[in-house]
Amino acid sequence: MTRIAVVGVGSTPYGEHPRVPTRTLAAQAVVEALDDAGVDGRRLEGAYVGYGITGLLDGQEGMVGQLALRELGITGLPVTRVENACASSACAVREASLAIRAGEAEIVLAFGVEKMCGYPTGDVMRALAGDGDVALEGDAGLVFPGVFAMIARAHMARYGTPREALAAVAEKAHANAARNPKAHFRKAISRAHALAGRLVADPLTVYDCCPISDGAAALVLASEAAAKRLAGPKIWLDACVLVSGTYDQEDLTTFHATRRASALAYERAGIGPGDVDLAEVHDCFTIAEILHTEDLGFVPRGEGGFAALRGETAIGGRIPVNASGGLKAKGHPVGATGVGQMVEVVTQLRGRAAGRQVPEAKVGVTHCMGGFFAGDCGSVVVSVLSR
Amino acid sequence: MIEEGRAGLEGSRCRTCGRTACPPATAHCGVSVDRVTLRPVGTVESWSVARVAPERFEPPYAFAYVRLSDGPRVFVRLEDWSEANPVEAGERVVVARGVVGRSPHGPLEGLVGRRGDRAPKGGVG
Repeated sequence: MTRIAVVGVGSTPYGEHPRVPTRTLAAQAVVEALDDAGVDGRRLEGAYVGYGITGLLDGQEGMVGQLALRELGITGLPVTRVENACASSACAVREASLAIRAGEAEIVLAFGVEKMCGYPTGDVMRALAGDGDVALEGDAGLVFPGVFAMIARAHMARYGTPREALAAVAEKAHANAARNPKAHFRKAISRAHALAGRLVADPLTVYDCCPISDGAAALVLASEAAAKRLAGPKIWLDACVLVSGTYDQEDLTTFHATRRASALAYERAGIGPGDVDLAEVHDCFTIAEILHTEDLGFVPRGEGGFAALRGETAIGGRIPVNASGGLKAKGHPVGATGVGQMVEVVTQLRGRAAGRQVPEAKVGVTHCMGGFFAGDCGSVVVSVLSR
Repeated sequence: MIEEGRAGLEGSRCRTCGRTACPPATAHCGVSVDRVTLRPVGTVESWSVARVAPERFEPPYAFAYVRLSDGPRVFVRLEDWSEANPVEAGERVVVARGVVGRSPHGPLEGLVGRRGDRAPKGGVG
């Protein structure tokens, strides 16, 4: 079975892009990835694109992939949209790698984009609620901050996770993002500042929640043979595993889907969680990072909050998590997030993450979660990348 | 399975493993399920208060995941919460269908819960 190489990465800055159309934002990330790979876009044999709620906000529900590529003169090739809520573009990468494995193509593009800024917050929240169970939960008043507020309370009650641990995750995210030129929030904050934020859903404050962001990210993937014909550095995609929830979880303090996806990904990559040098984890809310670091096997059950307080997940700590600033502070343009996480890990593995570089990084993990309902994850993608 | 004087909730029970669902599932364990009426009582698994919400709702409002005594986890709006009367995990809740919000197309329905032994008045929207 052929190995899959990441040969090019690109990303727009995350943040507010009021004057850039969605398609153009995507095109900017794609052209950066193609230039990075040294690949003429007309040589692409397929493209997979992830986006989520853009269409609910601006009306352009279809054809975003083709519109973006047309701006670059890349036409005629098979373009497929992949939808899996916040994990949409992580799944686009999986589809692209499967196309290469199937022998359908040698060089394939995966990208993601979202434009969410400039709309009333209530409209964006309602659009995002469409990634949960609208009929049973969303239309009854459950929005994502509420989901994670309930999870936070449950984790605090069961394991004694201090409220300050959530603030420590926010503080770390902002500290890392301040050193990432492509992050939405480039300003460090203190724990006290995070704790004093406006309540969104008790006990979560605005500093426990990821922002509403615009952004796009892109990867060029190649078969091992095609990658060897290219001059640039190769990072290997050793595993890219997708699972869905089972919706029968007995308690709210763990994500079984993360546990299953990571176990499969580690097995396929021939590693264990102790071999991982850094991870980009789906910290849509601070409490989510705490649970996922446990479920990815980086810290024992119940220890995620305490590990964050001890600095174990900071750059320079035992297992740096979200060196980019994460969804929390780098930003969360939902369709772009999965690919954006991989852009960060590839950049780190190449040793080019100036200012926030994890020293000697050889193996990195990305973890992306899409949707949530009935107390369980909609979808989870865990990928292993190595140099 | 219903306690006297309270409307039950529509649910299902798997013929193979006995797992219950609310609202009813169509099948479980690969076979169709039995329709059953579930007791409308349970306990608060976890809860919170929405301070920000889409315009069809009026924050602040309290909500919970409730574990019904007959098994399923359901999302419930709590009608008897106030800042002075906070919720605790493990509290007993009686659940009924009710109005939980207003959309341009009419009232939104969902499950409404009241703590203690009395049935909800039936509306928080």
